Amino acid sequence: MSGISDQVAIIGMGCSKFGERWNASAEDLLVEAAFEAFEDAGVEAKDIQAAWLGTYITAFTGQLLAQSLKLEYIPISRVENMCATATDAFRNACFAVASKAYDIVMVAGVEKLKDTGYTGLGNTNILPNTNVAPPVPPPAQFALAATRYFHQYGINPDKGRETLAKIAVKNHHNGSMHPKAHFQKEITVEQALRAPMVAWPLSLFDCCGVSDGAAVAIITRPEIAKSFRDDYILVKGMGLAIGGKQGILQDDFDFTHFPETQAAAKQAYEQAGIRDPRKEISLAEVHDCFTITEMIIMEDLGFSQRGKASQDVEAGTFTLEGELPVNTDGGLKCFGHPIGASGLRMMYEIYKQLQGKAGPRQIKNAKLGLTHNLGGTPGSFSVGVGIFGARD
Amino acid sequence: MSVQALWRDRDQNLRLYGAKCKACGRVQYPPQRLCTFCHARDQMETVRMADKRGDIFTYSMDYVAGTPDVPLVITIINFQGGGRMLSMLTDRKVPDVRIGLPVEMTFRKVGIFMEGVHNYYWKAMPIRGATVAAAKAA
Repeated sequence: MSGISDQVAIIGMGCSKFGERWNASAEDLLVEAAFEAFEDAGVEAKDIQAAWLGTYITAFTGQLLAQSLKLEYIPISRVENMCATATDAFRNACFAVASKAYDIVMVAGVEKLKDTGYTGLGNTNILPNTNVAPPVPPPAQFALAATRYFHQYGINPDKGRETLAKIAVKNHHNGSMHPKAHFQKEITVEQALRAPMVAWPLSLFDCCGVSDGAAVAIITRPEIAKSFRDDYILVKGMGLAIGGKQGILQDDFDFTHFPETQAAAKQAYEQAGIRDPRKEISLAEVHDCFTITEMIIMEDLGFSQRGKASQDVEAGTFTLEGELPVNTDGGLKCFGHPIGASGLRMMYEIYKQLQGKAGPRQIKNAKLGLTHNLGGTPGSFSVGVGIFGARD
Repeated sequence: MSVQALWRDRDQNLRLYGAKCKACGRVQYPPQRLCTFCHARDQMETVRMADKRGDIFTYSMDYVAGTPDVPLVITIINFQGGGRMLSMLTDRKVPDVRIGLPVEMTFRKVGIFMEGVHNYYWKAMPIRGATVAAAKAA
């Protein structure tokens, strides 16, 4: 299996402002993100030959995209894979251009979470259709991993919560430098520790923003990309791994690692020829739906040794100035999390960083960027991992 | 909510039936057509999880879930003899909640849905009398 490494190029991207967009409909967000991408790529809507629309609850079918952008009877697939939706949509679009079935396609992700009328994401029941399972919103689900992580590695929960707070502080510091992020303010460890408890041991600032937003990518093959721009970005690897509730059904699952992340990363690393991720990856955008998630992801991606991520966090390894910057645009925590768009927003930051356009957040010598996008709950995830690089 | 699914799932919901795979001997809840461990198909024999004791493998305490009894204590229970499930912890005092706490299962009303369907399910609870006995022994 050779994958699609170096067979797909991104020639344009757009991203709406994420946040509480009360005045913006899904159509408004898509127009905002798509026209930035069209202008960036130097294409028009009529040049798009096929499209993929990623959304969790904002639309069924691809018709929302057709109606919003006035795409006339082209193929549009609506993709859903919980919070990994956008990465999965992008992955499918990659196959379409790599196979030469289409030349120029677009991928759009959009979500109007602020239209749901409730805060957070509500319940995620394990038994379908019968309402017998207890209401377990995402913070409580991920808190199960935090409790167990502290226990397994002998970390006093008060100390552990402080380490987690540093992840949120880092992400707010980074996101406050991005004009499109949902939250624009820095926070302190003290503020984080004093914040209201949500699902012990996770409190308010351990939990990502619930946001509206959209993001778009225009992709093609490298030989066509050359005629659009010099600084197109190549897809080096794409992994996707889908859990089947192994962690809930199997009594020996430890709740301190996520096998789906490991499997998706392994696929992507193999395609991209990466052997030592900590050394070879220049920066990463990962799925920090909760602070504990980011910490565990560091180990599952091979950035930290098993059980040592908290030490790396304390050492500042993943800050903007650190050895391996993570979530340079603020991540889900600060940039926000419109479910169907997040994976593309991660790619947007990697794309801009690799092109040297990240402004105050710019990493030096950015060569390879990684996106990690995760949906579901501990015990059963959908994870997409992408690796991107500048052309030689 | 689906009354059809409620009827179909009555053994796993009302009887808390799990299953033991005859091919590999591992227990799982709820029963699966294909064993989660060895993938053998339709090799399951019924296990009465409601009769089993277990202990808390991990837990969280949700202060904003909107349940009448705050916090909502959510646990992963590992059963003696194998198997695990996600379960609410009821009849509990927050300071007693810890990894390793021994529990037993109890049949409880979960709520009233669709203006008339009274739904029941199992919850975990600290073993009745256990904390009293420990306090007396101390």
